[in-house]
Amino acid sequence: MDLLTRGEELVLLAVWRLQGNAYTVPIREQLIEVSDKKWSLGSVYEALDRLEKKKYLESYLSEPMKSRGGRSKRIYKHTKDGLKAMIELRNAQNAIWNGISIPAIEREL
Amino acid sequence: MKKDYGYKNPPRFAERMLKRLYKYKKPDTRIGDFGEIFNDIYHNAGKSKAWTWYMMQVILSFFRRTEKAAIGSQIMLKNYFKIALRNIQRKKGYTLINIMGLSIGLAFCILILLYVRDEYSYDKFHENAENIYRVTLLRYNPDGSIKSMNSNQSIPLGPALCSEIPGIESFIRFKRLKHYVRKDEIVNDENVLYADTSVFKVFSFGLLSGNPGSVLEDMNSVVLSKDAAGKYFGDDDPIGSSLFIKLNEEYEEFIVTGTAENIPGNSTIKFDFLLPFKKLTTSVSPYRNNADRWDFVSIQTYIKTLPELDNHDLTETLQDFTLRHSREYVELLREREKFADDALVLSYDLQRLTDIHLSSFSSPKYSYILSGIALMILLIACINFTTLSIGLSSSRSKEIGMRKVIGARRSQLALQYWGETVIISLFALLAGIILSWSALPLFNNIVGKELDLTFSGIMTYFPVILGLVFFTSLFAGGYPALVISGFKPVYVLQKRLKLSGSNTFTRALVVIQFALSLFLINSTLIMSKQFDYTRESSPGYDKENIIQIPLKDAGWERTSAQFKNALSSSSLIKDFTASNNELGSNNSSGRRYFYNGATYTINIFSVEQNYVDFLDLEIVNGRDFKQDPAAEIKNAVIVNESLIREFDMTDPVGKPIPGYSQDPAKAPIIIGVVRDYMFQSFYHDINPVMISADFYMRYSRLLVRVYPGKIHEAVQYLNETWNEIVPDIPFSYTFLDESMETKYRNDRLWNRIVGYGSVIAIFIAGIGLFGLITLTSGIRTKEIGIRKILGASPDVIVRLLIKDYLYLLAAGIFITTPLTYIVLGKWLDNFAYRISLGVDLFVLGGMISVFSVIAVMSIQAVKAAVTDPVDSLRYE
Repeated sequence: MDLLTRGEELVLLAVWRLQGNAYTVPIREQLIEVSDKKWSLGSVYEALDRLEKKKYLESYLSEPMKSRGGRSKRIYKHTKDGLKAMIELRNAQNAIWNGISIPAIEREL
Repeated sequence: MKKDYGYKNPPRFAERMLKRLYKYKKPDTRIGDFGEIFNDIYHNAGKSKAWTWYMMQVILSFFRRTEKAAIGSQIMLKNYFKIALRNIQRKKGYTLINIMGLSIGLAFCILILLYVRDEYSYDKFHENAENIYRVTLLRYNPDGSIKSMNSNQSIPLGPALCSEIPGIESFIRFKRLKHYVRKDEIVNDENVLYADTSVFKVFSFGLLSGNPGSVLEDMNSVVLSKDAAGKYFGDDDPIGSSLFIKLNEEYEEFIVTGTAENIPGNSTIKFDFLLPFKKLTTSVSPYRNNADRWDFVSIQTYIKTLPELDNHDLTETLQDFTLRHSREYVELLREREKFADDALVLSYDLQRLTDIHLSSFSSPKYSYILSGIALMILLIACINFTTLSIGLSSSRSKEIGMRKVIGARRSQLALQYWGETVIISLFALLAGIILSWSALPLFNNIVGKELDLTFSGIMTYFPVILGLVFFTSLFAGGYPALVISGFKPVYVLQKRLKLSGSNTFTRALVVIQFALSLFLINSTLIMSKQFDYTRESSPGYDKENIIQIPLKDAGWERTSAQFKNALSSSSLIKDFTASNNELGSNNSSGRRYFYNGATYTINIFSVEQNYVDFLDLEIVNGRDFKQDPAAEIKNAVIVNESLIREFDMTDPVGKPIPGYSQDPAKAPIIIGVVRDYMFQSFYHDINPVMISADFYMRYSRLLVRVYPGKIHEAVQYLNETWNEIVPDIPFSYTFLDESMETKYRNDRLWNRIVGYGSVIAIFIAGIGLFGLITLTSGIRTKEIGIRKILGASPDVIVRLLIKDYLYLLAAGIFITTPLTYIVLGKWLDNFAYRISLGVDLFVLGGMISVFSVIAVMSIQAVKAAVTDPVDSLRYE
């Protein structure tokens, strides 16, 4: 599996959560909410572009929308590879954290 | 859930720029994303926030692009820097001229930025600022336009609004009065503000001590500002101590229940002493007798609405409310002024707290004027840069040619050139910040503010300042970058291309520079001339050595004998009189009445019998009061010519003032006519005046004319006399000529600012010209040498070099004259008595500029003209 950066990982998951409405604006909102950091549009584009290049995501255009001044959204969804990558990510995550309990860490604090 | 407001378009040019920046990506959806967020911010935080955000996106995206482009050519970039710094080093003089001009321009802009920020920050510090409004009463014209706006309201209005209109949460009424405040031996005349109890809950004035909910609960409580507490109590804790305040005839005891932080400079509502409003409506005359009346208007009323309400939501409710409470008055007006049946006549309205400063106390106009001057100066500096760069470009043509041959693209070269401009602009910015910081005290002094420039302050403006530098460098360096990068390498390397110091574009720019400087010079001259005119021309009476003493509660009826006795026995005092009006003041008391289908307004001067003589007014018809025995004063009045004109009277002496009184026995009879004199300031026309020696209006001013040179002794004597006769009232006085001066203070201030601006503009344009002539004479060294060998005398050469610029100056004068004429003509219309715009001023302005141009240019031209031709021809 390619190692993803944290940003790419967050974007990959955000796309999953948004199911079908995953375009830049709500993805960015999600990221801001989850990470409590300011994300510029550019950084979201950056991550999306890279994920698309790695063939984890694919995109299609929506109908032009009035609320966007007659422009369409580019909506992202996972490819098969992307879905596999997510499972791998989750497994790897679990493996990394396996055996580490938060109360134990807190005791050290 | 998001509301659907419809799509707001982001700024067009910015959108286009973004599109270009993302042209390799998928621009359309991206522009859509930006547009969507723009709309989001627009509806949540307002237009300006959204604009700022959008512009920041453009700038950030731009840097992102250039950064990416630069990474590939890091080595080149290093080389560019090296070349830029070498160029700066090699041409120290020109760089100095450029940096000097730009830094002064930028410094000016930074100062103006501070000023404008302050102007627009008024009252925004209140937490509830968005929901606080001042109640105003609008009167309409029959055609639906607004006739007048009054912010003084009646006492019962506030409670009525609050209880009858559900959206209004609370109300605060304010009344400012002057009272004497006493503590032990200290007595001062102080401004006291009465306010409703909840003032600290609605407005965010900080309390240092005391409970915000209850400090004004008690009838005899007072809240002091930090300054006032220090003034009366020093370092002691004032809470619980007492102060004595004279509300009516007697001093009353008040207990200090709280101290407040000093009010920020950008607050419309200011106070040092805060008393409960209840006190005003129960104890202070005339307010206590009128506490229930709707037609007694003198109170400022503020309300706080529920957070989700906008002032427009309440417009209709307020219109109903107005009808409910003043139906009779509305019907009367509707009848008299012939309104249509459904037309609005009168309505209460809400004015945002944050709008009050700019609409009532200041004006956005001032911000515009200042920004205009700053931009003019910056533009002049930018033009220096452009003309000098173009002039200098020939020395770099080989470098450009070489780069092109090796394979540089035009855009790269343009970017390189522009980059150099950015570097210079950044240097200029640094110098500009230091400059503005050191000029701040002077600037504060001129505009009468307390602005502060701190490091963190600069950081908050940083995006704006960077934007300023960005555009400055674009204006200054954009054109040279395009021209220079467009050289054809073959011509350049074959030396077929000859770039001289002045092409058509340079000439045009120099003309603009001249025009701008001239505009400022002419404006300064015209403004000063107007002030000299107001100062020197006679107001129609003898205004020298007059001291005006406010009588306040001195009770002239009781004390006049004592005063008269003391004043007439002094050898310092030439003459004295008393009047109900302050001379030179903009407000006067008078009477307005309908007569024969027209409205007449007559100013009434109630005076002592010697008034006409005292002021040395010229009697053109009839006689003065003085010759009359006392009994004859009744109904006898002296009027001015303006009144005679107003009523179109012939042979007025002995006739009554038309329509003034229903009862012929009481009608004022004209016994004399005086020539018009300016009892107000020069902003006002002379209105009809009726002078009466019949004591029926309370005197407010004692006027004393002292002997010249004895002013200080006289004031001393007056003070002592005053303290003897009315010891419990503080003595104060004004000099007539000084208080007249303060009337023109605002305009004089703008005169000074424009004056400073024009000096700076001339200076920057001057050094630019100096650079330009140095350049041209350098380029024409050989030509001059040959001319001299062929027998040209130095003055022919000097003329040759300067002649061109004088033509340009003439063009500048040609452009600027009509402009000045229109703009300054508008300004002069503010004055009822104004100078006419004659040719002389423009000639003077032109002469000043011609001489400056010749002076600046001669230095270099003469130098070129007297150089030994041998040296100049050997020069390779």
